[in-house]
Amino acid sequence: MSAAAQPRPDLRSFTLLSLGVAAALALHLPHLPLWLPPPLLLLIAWRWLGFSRGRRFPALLRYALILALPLGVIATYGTLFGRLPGAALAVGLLALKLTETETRRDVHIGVAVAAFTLMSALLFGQSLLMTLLVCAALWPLLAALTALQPGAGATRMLLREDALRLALAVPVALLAFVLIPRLATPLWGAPGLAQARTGISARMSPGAIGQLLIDDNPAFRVGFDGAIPPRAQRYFRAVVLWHFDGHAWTPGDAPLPLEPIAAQGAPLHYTINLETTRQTLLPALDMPLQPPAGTRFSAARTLLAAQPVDHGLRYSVTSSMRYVLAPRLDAAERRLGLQLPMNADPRARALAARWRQRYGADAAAIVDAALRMFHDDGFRYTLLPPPLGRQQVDDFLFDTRAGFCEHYASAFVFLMRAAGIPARVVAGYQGGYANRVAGYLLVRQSDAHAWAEVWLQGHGWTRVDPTAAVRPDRISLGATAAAQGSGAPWYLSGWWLGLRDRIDVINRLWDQAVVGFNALRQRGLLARFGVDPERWQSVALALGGVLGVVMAVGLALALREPAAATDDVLGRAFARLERRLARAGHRRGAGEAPVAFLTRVAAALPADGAGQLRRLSTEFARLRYACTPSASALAARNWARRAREFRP
Amino acid sequence: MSLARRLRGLTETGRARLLRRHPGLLRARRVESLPIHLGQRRIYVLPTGFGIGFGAMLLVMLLGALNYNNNAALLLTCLLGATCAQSMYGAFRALHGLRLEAVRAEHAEAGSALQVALHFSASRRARTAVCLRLGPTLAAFSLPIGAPTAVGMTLHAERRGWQALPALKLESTWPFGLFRAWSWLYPDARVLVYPAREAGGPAPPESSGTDSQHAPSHEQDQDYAGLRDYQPGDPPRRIAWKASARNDQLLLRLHEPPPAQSTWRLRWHDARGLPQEQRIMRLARWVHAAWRSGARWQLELPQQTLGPDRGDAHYHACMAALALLP
Amino acid sequence: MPDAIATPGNASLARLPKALAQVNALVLGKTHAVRLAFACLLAGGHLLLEDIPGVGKTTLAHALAHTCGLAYQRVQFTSDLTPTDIIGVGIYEREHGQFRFHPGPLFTELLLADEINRGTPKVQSALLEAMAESQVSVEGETRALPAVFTVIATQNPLDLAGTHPLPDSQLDRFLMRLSLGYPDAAAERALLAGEDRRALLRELPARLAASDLLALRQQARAVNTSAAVLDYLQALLAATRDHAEIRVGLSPRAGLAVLAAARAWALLAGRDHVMPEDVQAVFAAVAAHRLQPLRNSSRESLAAALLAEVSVRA
Repeated sequence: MSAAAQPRPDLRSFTLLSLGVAAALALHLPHLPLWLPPPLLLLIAWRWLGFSRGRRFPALLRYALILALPLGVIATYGTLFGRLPGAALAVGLLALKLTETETRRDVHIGVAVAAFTLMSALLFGQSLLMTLLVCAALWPLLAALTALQPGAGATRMLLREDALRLALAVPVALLAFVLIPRLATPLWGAPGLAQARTGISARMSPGAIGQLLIDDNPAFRVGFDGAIPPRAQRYFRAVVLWHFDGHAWTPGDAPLPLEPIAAQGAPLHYTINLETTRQTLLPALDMPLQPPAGTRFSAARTLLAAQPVDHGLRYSVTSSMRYVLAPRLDAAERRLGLQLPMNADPRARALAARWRQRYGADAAAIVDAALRMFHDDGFRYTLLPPPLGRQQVDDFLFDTRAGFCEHYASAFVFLMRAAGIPARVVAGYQGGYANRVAGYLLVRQSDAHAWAEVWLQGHGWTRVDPTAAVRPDRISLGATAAAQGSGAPWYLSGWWLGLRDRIDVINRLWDQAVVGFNALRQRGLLARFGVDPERWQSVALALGGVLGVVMAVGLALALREPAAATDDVLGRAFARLERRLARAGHRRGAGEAPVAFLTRVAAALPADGAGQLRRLSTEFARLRYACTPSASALAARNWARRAREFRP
Repeated sequence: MSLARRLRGLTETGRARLLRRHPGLLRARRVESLPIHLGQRRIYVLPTGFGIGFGAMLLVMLLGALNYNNNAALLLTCLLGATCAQSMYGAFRALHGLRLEAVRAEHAEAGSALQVALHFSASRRARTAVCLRLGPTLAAFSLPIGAPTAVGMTLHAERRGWQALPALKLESTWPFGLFRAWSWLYPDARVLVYPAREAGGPAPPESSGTDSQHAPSHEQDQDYAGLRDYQPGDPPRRIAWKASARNDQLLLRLHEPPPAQSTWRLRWHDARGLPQEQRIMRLARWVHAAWRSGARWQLELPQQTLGPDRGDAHYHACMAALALLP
Repeated sequence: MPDAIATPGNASLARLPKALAQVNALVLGKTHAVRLAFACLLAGGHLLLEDIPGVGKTTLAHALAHTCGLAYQRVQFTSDLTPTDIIGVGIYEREHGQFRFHPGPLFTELLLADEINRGTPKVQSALLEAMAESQVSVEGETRALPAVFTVIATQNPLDLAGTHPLPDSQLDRFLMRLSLGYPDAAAERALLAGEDRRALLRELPARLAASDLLALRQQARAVNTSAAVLDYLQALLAATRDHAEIRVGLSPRAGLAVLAAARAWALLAGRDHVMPEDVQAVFAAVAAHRLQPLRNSSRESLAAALLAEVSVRA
């Protein structure tokens, strides 16, 4: 179809399409390369201006841009494939589509591509807000289609009607959402999922936790059977790191036996709702006693899931807050607990040797000396530490003296090992935020933390948090507040906290009900309605039946012609008023005219109501008998409203 | 099995019943008397090309969302799908309950454009974006509540005589253009096309019979009412020569009241020696000239004689008689 | 809402209240009937007053004619009255050598036809024909009656001997039939104490003129009737047609008569639109004499029953 064969779409339709494209661009904004959005936005605006003046976009420029876009994407990502390059490409092409929109057909294609691009925005985040925004962005796109229709009404009416259509579609959409069979295994490879790991990982390289500390997304939520334990005791271990190569900490690969535990306090039961991590690490409060079903313990009593957590996970654990872990240390563990990279960080080793000389075998005294050093010798807590050189620990301990938990944990464990005390790094989460509305503990990614465990004779593995020595409030207030350098800021108090609580409750419901609605949950739900999820005939029957009912209801609605009376706003409003007056004991006689009736009732009312009713009556007479019905639709609605407000 | 074969297979009564229930099924050439009410049985709905393409895209979105286990995207797809499915009902509702109340046509001469006005009314609901396809032409219109709306269409008047209205197709893709609802109408309406007028040729034998009353002196006594352009067939004696000389074109004097005494006798055999159609065209031109000049005229045809009379009614009667000549 | 009426006839409209008051001053205690009579005049209809003698029928007719500033003639119908007595005759005049038409009392603006049921059917039908056509044909020539030509007829319901009651089809020519009834005690007391009404009449000025009346009729025709009112009126008409007590229901022409009267009634109330109340107010006067009851029930009570039965849809 040539462009000449079809009329140019009207400006209104093009404007709505441009709005939809701009919305798609805005929703992709968080993950687009920085160089892309400003020119695209400019392009949309320029194109809109050009279109409104009846100009075509220069074809040469368009071809140049179509060429430049993939080049730019390749320059940024090195490839055209994958989630991020794909999103950049899709958004860019969508904006370019506007430049060649000259016919109704182009608008059609533009709307379809825009809808697809909108959907792809959800691949980057499925939060409630994002989903709502994406659904709302469908609105201008649908309105663009409606505006294309010949003789479409005023824009306001058109927008209202399309909003109504969207709203009408919601129940059907929910029904389809529940019923559409989920795939147990993907049809084709799901690329890019491996990159999407979140949360604590089994490798602590410099800055790894620092990345998390600025991420305000929920990591998991904990519901305690009893009271929420105090903040200073809320250490959730996720992974124990044994091996240090001078740069990064890793768990190490030596097989070790499970460390025995002697629980001393009362056991604490709780349930954790873990967000999707795409990893097997499961945080648990120090110190878990038994692995829940489907999980296992590492040697150092961190929980491991059998498979990466791709759709959230819910598990219940019992922990003991007071315990003795591994009263006896076997040789292999001792060796691992004393491992140090060769020839690294001589100054730190020298310092440890001095402590060793001074305190001898008194491990507790050495620990104390290290913590005192962190506390007294000008160490700072900051989320933006200066860069460290090759001798990481030396540089940190003797030069920069600024960092956050991973620096302190790393340096502390190094010093202990150098002083001959078995020690290891534990990474996990600390603190969390107690939601006062729903009574659960919300732990965000920004609560990620690293601390140390040293093995002391008679005490076993004992938790030592060197960061607390620098900034005790890091433990009592949380990382964000600690980074601010002072107490809780103004926005973390009062109604704001309450609002945040409520929003978090809604988000949790969303995550549980929608995002986490997988094949398993679908089966459970369908089985409750007597649909056998194992037999596809049964599922098809259910789906077909529901679809049939929905179609039939739609058809019945489509066939329904409004009765003559339904157009009569005034008549219905009067009938309502009449019913209310009848309940109050004022009945209209069979042959009594409406105005005469209202006048009669007004005479029986006290002065205030009587005046109101008389005004209503006068206005009714004017609307009913003096005006043409079409001209006074607004006035009739107005009367209906005032009649509703009238209290006899 | 094709529809036609199936229809042949049916018994006669069965076929009649089927056609009665689904008048649009075959283009049942049975004309329908006005008003025509668009009931649900004669409205058909199918997706448009865009609708099929959009559906394919929805399917891809669905598969993608399912494959990546992305429930938010799935929800979005469901919402978009459910909204777009309303297009089917919207298109249906745009036509359902519509009525073609009347068809009115202007008189046209063969070979010229024929203006047809179709009067539609909607019951109780306003309609938007209804398209009327009549032959190659397309007109879109909207209907407010209650008020009938006239939709004008232009047809080509081919030959003199009765011309039946071609089948009308009413269609709508409201609101999203994803589904098209359509219905065929065969209104029982025909238009009388007048014969074309001859382009040139001899002037009408206007004054035959009553020539004596038509003296020039008499004409000059009449009230002079104005001038108009000369047209072929106008009586030469009423040309205003002086005025024409000033204006470089022939002008005709108009008189008020028109010359009552002159009666033109337009006779079939005065145009003898021409083929039938040519003869009719010449008489048509004469009748037109007589009408334009405001004279009384009498048309004598082989089977009938009209007039003498003057005025619009007489003109239309004469043209109709000419149009219906064998 | 008087400001809603914005037509050239406003001056005439402004004179109406005084005219009403003046007639009410003459015919005491009959405000409703007087108002109806005015509505009848404004609707351009003829009026039939039916009541026993002496309750003020003739006074009302005179008061109306005088107050409205109309030239009026009175004809006492008797059994020997002939059509030419009211229409007039052509008389040969020797000095002019031709027939000259001498118009009868019919050629006036307001004709007061007293005791119309005493006239012969021949006379009655001549009059009624003139009422219907607003013109008369005399000796092959058509003569138009004045534009405002209106008949106010009276008849005595009790007087049976030697009368020719108007047939039902002829009653239809009268827009309204009114009965005055006895005056209430206070009015009667005032009547007894006061002057002679007829004498009083002569002293009072005319409040309107024929041109005013024409303008007001024009205005009454322009009064807006909404769909709701038409629905109600139609429901009333339909109810008369399948009512158990009624032999023949109201014709569409009767419906138009009710509507015209209701418009005039609305105009009298100073409104530019008709309300169901207006229809109800004039219904009995306009419709009762056109209803043909099945049994011996009173037509007025039938009309009232209809009004009470047919519900007014809001």
